[in-house]
Amino acid sequence: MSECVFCRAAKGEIPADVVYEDERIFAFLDQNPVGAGHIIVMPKEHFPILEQIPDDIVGELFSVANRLSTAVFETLGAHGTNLLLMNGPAAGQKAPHAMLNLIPRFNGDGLDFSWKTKKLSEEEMSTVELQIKEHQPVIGLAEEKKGPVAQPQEPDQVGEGEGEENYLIRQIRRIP
Amino acid sequence: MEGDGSGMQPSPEEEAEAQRKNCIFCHIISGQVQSKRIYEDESCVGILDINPANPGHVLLLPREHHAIMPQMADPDVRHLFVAAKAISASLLKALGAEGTDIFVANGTTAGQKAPHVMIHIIPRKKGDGIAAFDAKPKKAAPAELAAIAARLRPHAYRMMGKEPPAEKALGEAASPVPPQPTTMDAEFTEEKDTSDGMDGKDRKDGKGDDATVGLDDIAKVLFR
Repeated sequence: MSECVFCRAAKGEIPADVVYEDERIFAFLDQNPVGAGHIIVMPKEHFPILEQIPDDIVGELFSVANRLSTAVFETLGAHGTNLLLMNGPAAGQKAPHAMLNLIPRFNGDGLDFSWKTKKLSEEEMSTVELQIKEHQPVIGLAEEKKGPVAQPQEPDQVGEGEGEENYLIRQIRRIP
Repeated sequence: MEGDGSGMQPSPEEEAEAQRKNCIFCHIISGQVQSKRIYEDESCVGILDINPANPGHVLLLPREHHAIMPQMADPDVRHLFVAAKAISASLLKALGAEGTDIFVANGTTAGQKAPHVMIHIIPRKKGDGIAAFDAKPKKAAPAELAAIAARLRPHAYRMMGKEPPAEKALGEAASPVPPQPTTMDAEFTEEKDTSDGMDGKDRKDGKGDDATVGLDDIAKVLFR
């Protein structure tokens, strides 16, 4: 049975340069970093996208990443750090296992995560505001109707029985 | 808390107070400055960025002012990202977004533009032309990775309040890395021990004093 390579790394079946791990979180150096000290922080449990990660693990994930930022500042003498979670292929997600990038920054490192800004009219802004409010963000909305998210046979299949999150997966995949 | 007017270095509290008074995002949170607010709760506020990368680009701000995220209290950090997840889900549904980027910049070197912690939640669609997160990875030498990991591990575990595992228990590490200088060593400078009386008051989680020195320096110098 094929299994997500990141799940296997978290179990120690594949070697990794581990920076920190506990029962729920696994942090290791990216073998193909965008910059020196690039750390991947991820839940040990398999979740394809952010919206499927239970709130307590989301909190744990970013709490660990934030504290690792301090370790990066102190140990590597970084001048800054970036946290980047690319959620969905259109956002740059390449792996089937949701993960967070912690990237140390140094003056002159040649990295640039800046974007070109778009100019929206007042009307466009108001339209967007109303659209979002029609789906008002609420913590715990899509929560915990679990059903364990079954360890997928193929890495990018979704667990069953969670209509809300299936919708989000389809949205992200945009299968025509 | 007023300074004594003697011209001495302002305390961290005075620095923070000055930042807060001038912080436009604190003014937005308090309502003094207009914004399009799409989320709020007791500890954070989400607004639309008026200079968005894409329509629906949200800035999620903790109500409490801190320059960089490592200075925030841990429960507030956790909550902030739980809110970010809810906002991300909402953007996917409301705007038909095909993905979202969750992005934080700590320090101007990292691209931080304003001295108030914020999470960028950027809705994405294929072909939207945003190349910001397309950085090209480069293969790293295994020995260099092992060396960096070995340096980070003790500090990482101590940050989590744990003892680092005995090095020989980590079976995955390569055979011991000989202490040769590498280009990595040339770039990184060790933190100097600059005890100057800062006592880590900004760090609500009570972690070690020396952690605060580097973070406050970054926060202060970059956001005068």
